[in-house]
Amino acid sequence: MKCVKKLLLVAVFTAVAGAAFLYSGVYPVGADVEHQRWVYWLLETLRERSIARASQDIEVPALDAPELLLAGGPDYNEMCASCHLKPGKDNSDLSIGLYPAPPNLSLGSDQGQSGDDAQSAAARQFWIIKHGIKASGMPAWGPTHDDQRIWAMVAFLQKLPDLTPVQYQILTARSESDDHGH
Amino acid sequence: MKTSKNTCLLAFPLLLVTLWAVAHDPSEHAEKNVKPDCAAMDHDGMDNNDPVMQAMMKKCMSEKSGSDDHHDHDHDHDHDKGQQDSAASPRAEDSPASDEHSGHGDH
Ligand code: HEC
Repeated sequence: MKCVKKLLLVAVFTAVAGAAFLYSGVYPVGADVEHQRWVYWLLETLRERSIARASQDIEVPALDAPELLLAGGPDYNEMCASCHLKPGKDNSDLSIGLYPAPPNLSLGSDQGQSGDDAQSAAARQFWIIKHGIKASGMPAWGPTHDDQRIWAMVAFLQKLPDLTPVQYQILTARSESDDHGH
Repeated sequence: MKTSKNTCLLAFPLLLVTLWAVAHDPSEHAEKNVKPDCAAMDHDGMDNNDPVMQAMMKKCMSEKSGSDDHHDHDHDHDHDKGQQDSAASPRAEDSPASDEHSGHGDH
């Protein structure tokens, strides 16, 4: 009985301390002050577990067709490169100013490239592009773009780390003929 | 009374926001008619099975044929004609010429 009382006291104290901290306003919320490491770890773990769970049943279509690269390239260049950069560009106002920082998608990732790993990495990217990530700069593109267009960007992302600036320019140029579906 | 005044105060910023949203319609700020820099393509060690290479070839081929049957566009696609016309003229003047030259230089 005494033990229960003690536990209850600790719980109440923790809740009050937590509320005091919350309302005190001492936690810095500006994007130019980094999180404490443990806060970052908490948020990152929350994000990665949530994405892994949500994307586990996504079926990844074939992503090798050159048509997909030609569809995804111009979209990436127009909608994503300002934050996620491109070959030959290693920072931008947005890549520097946002926190959490948008990863440079033109650099290879440390994710595995083979078999299942590659599949789940593609599913993860698809999910992130479609749904975005709360309280980060990453928008949800799903409400305004259909799945096919998002898969094309995923296909482009698979090749992006290997592209030279010239290859990037050719694949992403949005020319007149593209719009007419020749 | 007070609320209606506030509504008026809101209206102007709202209008601005709306205009801003219109200006940022993706199709508006999309960089149309950027020419792929096909002349700079590196043909050395190219692998025809590589999707990237195939995609670049496709892009550059369609770019060439695109400028050949270019008058077709006018009656095929009446929409956004103004845009096309203004875009077509600088294209006809400089770009194909420079492509042509570098193309011959390579071979
Ligand atoms: C306004 C800036 C911004 C734009 C525009 C943007 N993103 Fe992001 N993106 C972010 C940020 C910030 C993150 C990291 C979020 C985090 O760490 O919680 C991110 C994360 C991602 C990730 C996950 C990267 C990883 O491996 O962890 C992918 C994939 C991605 N974005 C793709 C895209 C694509 C494709 C587009 C264009 C359609 C795009 N983004 C447009 C800001 C942006």
